[in-house]
Amino acid sequence: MECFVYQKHIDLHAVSALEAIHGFMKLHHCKSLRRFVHWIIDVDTNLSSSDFFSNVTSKSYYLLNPNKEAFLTELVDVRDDNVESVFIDVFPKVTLDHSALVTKINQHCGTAITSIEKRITWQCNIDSSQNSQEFVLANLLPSDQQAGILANPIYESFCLLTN
Amino acid sequence: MTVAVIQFPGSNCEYETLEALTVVGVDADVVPWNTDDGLLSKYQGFILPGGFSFQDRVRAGVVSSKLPILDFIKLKAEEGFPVLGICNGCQILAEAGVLPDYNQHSSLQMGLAPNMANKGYHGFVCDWVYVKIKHTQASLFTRYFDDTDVLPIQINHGEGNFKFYNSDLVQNSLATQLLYCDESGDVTLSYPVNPNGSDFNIAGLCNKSGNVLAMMPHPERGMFWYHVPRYLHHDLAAQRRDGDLLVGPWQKMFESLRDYIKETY
Repeated sequence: MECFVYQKHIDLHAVSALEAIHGFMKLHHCKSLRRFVHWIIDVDTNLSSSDFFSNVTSKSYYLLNPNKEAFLTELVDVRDDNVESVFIDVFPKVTLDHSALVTKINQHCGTAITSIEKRITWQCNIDSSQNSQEFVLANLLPSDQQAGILANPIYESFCLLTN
Repeated sequence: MTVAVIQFPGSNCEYETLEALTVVGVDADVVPWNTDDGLLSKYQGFILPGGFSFQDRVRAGVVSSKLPILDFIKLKAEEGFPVLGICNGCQILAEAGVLPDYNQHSSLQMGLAPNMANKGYHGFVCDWVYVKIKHTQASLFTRYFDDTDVLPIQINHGEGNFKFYNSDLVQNSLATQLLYCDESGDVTLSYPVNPNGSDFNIAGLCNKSGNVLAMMPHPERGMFWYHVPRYLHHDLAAQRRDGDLLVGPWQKMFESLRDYIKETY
């Protein structure tokens, strides 16, 4: 199961990324950005995603800080006919060892998590006059080792997500 | 003879860097990132100092790398002017694709990933480490050093893990490279000698022409005798304990820059 953690108030990473895209890269078809921390978890449970993550996040701060963050279990398009949402998952090329985190969550929350993975998901809301996916792939993400902004092609991979 | 120390929003080492230049007799200014190209053109060298430009948002250095001043810096680098990126300055040069230039493609060739040790993120590291310099004579910044020197230096970063698109080109390059080593000068590939997981223990590297150097450690924090900690197991630390140390190990880098500008412009 998976969840997408977002800042309740303001996400400074997304603010600065959009500022760079508009102000420095001069790409105004990207209308807005959201950023999520994307947790992908393998767990043995009968609970729904929503109940499972509510349980974990009410008992610990490992996946999010409830004072300033909240989560979704599914991605949602922006409600605006003039833009289309493109969701991009960015993750490291190397496999990271999160076993210590798994142990801590299981101990604190009484869960049976077997593995956990952390990614960053960007929601790029693109002017609907554009082919939104092509725009994101050509301008905001690296292509043929040319620099984008949302991922570094040397040590990160990315993929498109569908909601 | 003037050098511009570029101040980005969030730089925090610009004044130490200015002091390092001033002490060796270089006329230098702290120059904001949005300074007009015409005003910048009077400078004969450029330093991108350490700090957290744009709070390291998105990735360290990436937002600054999109600034118009980086187009100017790239142009100056291609024209042969000295360009030094320290820590966050190194990250900015990497994200801008200025370094390395070991092949003919004008594409991104290296990145500074988050620090890693033992297959996990290692977080921010602030410590003294040792480096040695390979091909010292290939860079205007390192020509006063020897390839056998083992130099203490401070690191202070969370994303200093050098990764490369083409590892073979890096390994076979004759350009200057700074390598993390132990106090004996052995380039041990594992933590803690390699404090962040960098490929080949690389702590910094130069372009083929030798005029652009990007390094994660802070040479401006090794300028003076009192910068060198007494507790290190190193000759310089022993000299400090004995009261014999007169200058820091990295003053030569700034002297070399000073002399290069004097000789060239």
